Amino acid sequence: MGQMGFFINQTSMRRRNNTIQTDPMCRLDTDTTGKEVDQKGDVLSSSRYMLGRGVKRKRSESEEAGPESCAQERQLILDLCLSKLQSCYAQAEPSLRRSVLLANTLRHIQDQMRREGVDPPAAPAASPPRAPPTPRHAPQLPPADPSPEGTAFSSTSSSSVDSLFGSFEIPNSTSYLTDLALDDIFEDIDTSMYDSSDCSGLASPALDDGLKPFPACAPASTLQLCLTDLSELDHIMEVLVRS
Amino acid sequence: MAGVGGGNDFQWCFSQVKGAIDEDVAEADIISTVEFNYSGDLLATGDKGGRVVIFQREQESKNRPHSRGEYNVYSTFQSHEPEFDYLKSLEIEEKINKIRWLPQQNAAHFLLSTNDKTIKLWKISERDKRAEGYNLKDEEGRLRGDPFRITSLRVPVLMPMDLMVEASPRRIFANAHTYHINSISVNSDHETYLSADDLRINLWHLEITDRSFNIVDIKPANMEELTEVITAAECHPHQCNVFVYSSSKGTIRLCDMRAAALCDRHTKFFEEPEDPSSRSFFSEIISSISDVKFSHSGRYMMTRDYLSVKVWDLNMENRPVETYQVHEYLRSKLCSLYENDCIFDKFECCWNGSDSAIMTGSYNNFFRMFDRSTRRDVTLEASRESSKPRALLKPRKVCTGGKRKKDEISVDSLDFNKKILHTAWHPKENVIAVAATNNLYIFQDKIN
Repeated sequence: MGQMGFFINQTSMRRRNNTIQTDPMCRLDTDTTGKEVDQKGDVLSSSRYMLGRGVKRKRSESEEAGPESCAQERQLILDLCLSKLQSCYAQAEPSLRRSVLLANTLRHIQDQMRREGVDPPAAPAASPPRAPPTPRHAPQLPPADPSPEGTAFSSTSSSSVDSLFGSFEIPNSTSYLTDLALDDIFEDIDTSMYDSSDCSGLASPALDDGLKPFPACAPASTLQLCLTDLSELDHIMEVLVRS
Repeated sequence: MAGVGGGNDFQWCFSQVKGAIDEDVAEADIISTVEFNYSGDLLATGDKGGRVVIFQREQESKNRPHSRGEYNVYSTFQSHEPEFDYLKSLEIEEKINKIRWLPQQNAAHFLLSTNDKTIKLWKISERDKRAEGYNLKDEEGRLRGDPFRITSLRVPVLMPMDLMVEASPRRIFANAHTYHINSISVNSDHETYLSADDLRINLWHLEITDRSFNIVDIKPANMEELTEVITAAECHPHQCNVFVYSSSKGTIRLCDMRAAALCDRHTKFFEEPEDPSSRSFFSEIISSISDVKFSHSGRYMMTRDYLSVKVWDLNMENRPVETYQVHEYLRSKLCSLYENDCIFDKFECCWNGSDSAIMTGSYNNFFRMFDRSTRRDVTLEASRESSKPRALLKPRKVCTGGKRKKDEISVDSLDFNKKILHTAWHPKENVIAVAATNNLYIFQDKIN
């Protein structure tokens, strides 16, 4: 794990500055309160990473530095983005600034991935050549969702992140309609509490891919779909089950 | 004039430190805002526990010629209490987000304090006399016997007593903000003030609590389209119709309230084009503006983003006139700072009294000062180690690649839990207040 952090950050620095630095930036770790940062105090060993994505880490660890490293860094940022956004659910009233910045970063990365997916000109909807989402989380899925990569990314339409952020704000949007409880932002993601008519503006019910655990409310499935794209189904399961 | 220290300029020296030395810091004791009043004689701090502590500068004493007006506690009061919104099932933190003083108009002092939702106007007044000798009431205020038996007129007299400082809430401005209030700013008309949350800015009259005017609303009809939030707002120091607000996309909008009641359309839009060479996944996050402050003159404004401070001329919208790097060495560490959430820290910034220097905070209890005319900068540290009376502050240096020299600290050993987010500069003198977690440091220039 430590290796991976080292590796990722070196490459990222090389990419940004065109210089090779010897210092791995992941040594910067605020969990270490002392002035001397432990060599092993790699960010990846911090508890925040213990979010059920260990499989992914192991895979990356075994890889050598190569053209995929950029995509790996991106994947790392993406993973963090998702887990941070997910943690916003846990808070009653998360910082809107932080959530918006995270969502924009996610959008940016998705756009970029989409553009790279366009590389083969004939297949604008193909899965990106780099950082392919792997089906390793499939066993955790309800059998109804096969999570096919190709279709996953073909559904990554320009609205998917918007939908993610939108779904995020369902309670708020709902309250916006009634102009009452505007503060409830992110507070409660149990969309079953709301009339599906309230949510109808947020996403098309056609996107519902018929996953059992979810109520027939559209936004939940949009969120589901979006995250499926990113092979983060374990996250969404966690989120939805918790709510 | 006011340099930033080093060279031929004056040097900063330690004056005072407030707050417990204890290693275990209670969350409630963390200072969340610092603000001098207009004369600089009072210094207010707010903390996460909802308290406001006001320090008053002592008169210079002839016995101790070297102690130039120390700040001592003048008044402490609980400004905000934790609340629970039963309708929304939501806890409202008591944390004081901002304090703003009102210009003094009589013997009493007034300040506005705000948490996430509610703004309060406090009156801080002194009492050193009390009325004695009432006809109808005794000393405890109980009615005295039969009022019909009183035959002579007796006028109460004012008797001296120990000085008492009272803080009383005068106005409570509630229920106008749906999101978290990030700024309050008293207008130069001294009658109105604005309050900004993530998506809206409201204009209030200081005397009226049941009504405010919404002057900016960036909430999209559909929250799915939300990509930008308001991060700070301030009234112009001289023109009461002008205010600015900054956004999470790194832009600043200047609005003129004469143009329309709802300032949906800005008058000026300040934005620096992004440098494509430094673009990264974090570009937007680090360009998000955490603070905006007009210069005292009203000609410039200063914005703080994650890595830099920029000074803008209000007459030039396309780029800042000055850019100062606060901790450029962190650019290569952004991934880790993103991972540990430091990248979302909101650093504030302040001008000195003559607008010739600016100050802002960093990590490891470091804070930075920039002299605008000489372009010199200095990194200083707020630490207990150098907190001997009148000890000179030694400029600190962070090693940025290459071999670490003596007295330098490497980026990797910076303590990112110790951050200086809030600082204040005395409006007339070189006295600064620096909030480092639960401690308030006061530094001043060395007397020669």
